Amino acid sequence: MLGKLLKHEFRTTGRYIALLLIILIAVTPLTALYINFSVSDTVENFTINGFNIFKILRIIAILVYVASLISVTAATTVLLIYNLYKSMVTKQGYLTHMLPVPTSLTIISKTIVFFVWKAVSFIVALFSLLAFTYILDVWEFKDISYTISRIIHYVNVPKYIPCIILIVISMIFGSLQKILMYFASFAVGHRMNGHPFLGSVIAYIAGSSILGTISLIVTSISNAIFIDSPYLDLVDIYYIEMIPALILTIIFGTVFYLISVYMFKNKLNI
Amino acid sequence: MAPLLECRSLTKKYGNVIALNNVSFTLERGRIVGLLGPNASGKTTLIKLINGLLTPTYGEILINGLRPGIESKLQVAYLPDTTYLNDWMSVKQLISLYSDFFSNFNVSKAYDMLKRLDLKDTMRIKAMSKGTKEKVQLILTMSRNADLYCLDEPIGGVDPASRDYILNTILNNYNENGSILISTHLISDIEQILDDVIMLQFGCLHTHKTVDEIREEKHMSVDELFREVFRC
Repeated sequence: MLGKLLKHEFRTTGRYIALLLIILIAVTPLTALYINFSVSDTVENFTINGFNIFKILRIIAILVYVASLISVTAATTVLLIYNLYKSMVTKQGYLTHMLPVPTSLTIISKTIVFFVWKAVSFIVALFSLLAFTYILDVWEFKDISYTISRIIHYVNVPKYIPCIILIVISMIFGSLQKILMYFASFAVGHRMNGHPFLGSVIAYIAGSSILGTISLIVTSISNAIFIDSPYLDLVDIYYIEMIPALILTIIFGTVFYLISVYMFKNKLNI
Repeated sequence: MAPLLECRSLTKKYGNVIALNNVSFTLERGRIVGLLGPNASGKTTLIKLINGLLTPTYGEILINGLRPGIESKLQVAYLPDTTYLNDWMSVKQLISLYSDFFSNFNVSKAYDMLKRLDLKDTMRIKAMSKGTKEKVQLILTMSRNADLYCLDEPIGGVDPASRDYILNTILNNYNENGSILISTHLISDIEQILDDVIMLQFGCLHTHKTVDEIREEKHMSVDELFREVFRC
């Protein structure tokens, strides 16, 4: 059943997210090649009455690229949140809640799809930026091997690998927790009679405030207990900061998930 | 054997507004039941409660002895009074979605009904008129072999010729061991197919009788009774 839910959810969200990604992939080489072309001596000196149209187009090309990059990263999130809201608590939610599937599976499938599209858009945006700067001769492939060799030479790499893994895990759980927080906000907020969107926004702000306050308290306690030790190096301090934060993220994510399942299963009001 | 649908002291409040107030009734199998009442009498609320889209403030609903949940969603086919489908979807994609999730969805029946309406499965919802959208929703609902069909205003937004088509579709395609609960204001159009009538007034159960009982006891049609009871 999860497979079917994922198939239909990817189909629903994919048509506009894929379009954004395709636009970025197309815009990256076009704008970068144009900028390269426009900075050549011939074009740079090509003026009519002191006016160089190619320079204006260069600025437009940069703006188009930046806008595409922002669209993919920011608009993807906005569109996914909008889709989540519509499919859970508006009339389109009739179909979502009419399906004979457990509420938990509905939430899990939507969370997975949201996460995958966010990850894909992040990776595409990263590669786009790399390709853009590569075409503009900001870096070369040999720079990468040189940088890696310097890092290996000067840095105790095995010591930092757990840190990198921890960063990746924290990013994944952080992203999942955020998605589940949207769910919980809609699950609680939609109960506000006649104003489900306003209710959801209020629930989100309240959730963020509670989360922020508890995080601050826990990290302060953690710092007070451990960081004063004179034997700590930077990596230890990093762990002291990151591990409680990760544990909190997992706990909050679980709480948001349980709230969402409970509310949509037992308190649905659409 | 548990009744098909049982409502016990069902109450639903929206803030201070009472949409349904202590409604109790049972519904047996093989009946076509008209759910009648003026605007804001609680008809849609009752249907949404049966389908688990709302949760009761007090009371209980049992479908085949079960509370609204995964099992009941398979046994109840619901036609809302509004367009609820994603408008970018084609009829073919919707049929695929329904057949993926509802094991009692009959794909060939759906295509038969589409053919009779001369509708192409490649058509997208957003390209359809309001009446066509309603027909597609009806086809999706009636292609299920459900125990209970909850149809909320199925003929409300369509012309008289289409009403006949819709009523025929309902009559020819429902599971005869199941029941149909039809909510409508257009009583004269559906009176001839009804077995029972449930009338709601201000969220309370006003009448629950068979059509024959109404005719024998009151010497009037359901339409006439409705006009008398709810005269402004």
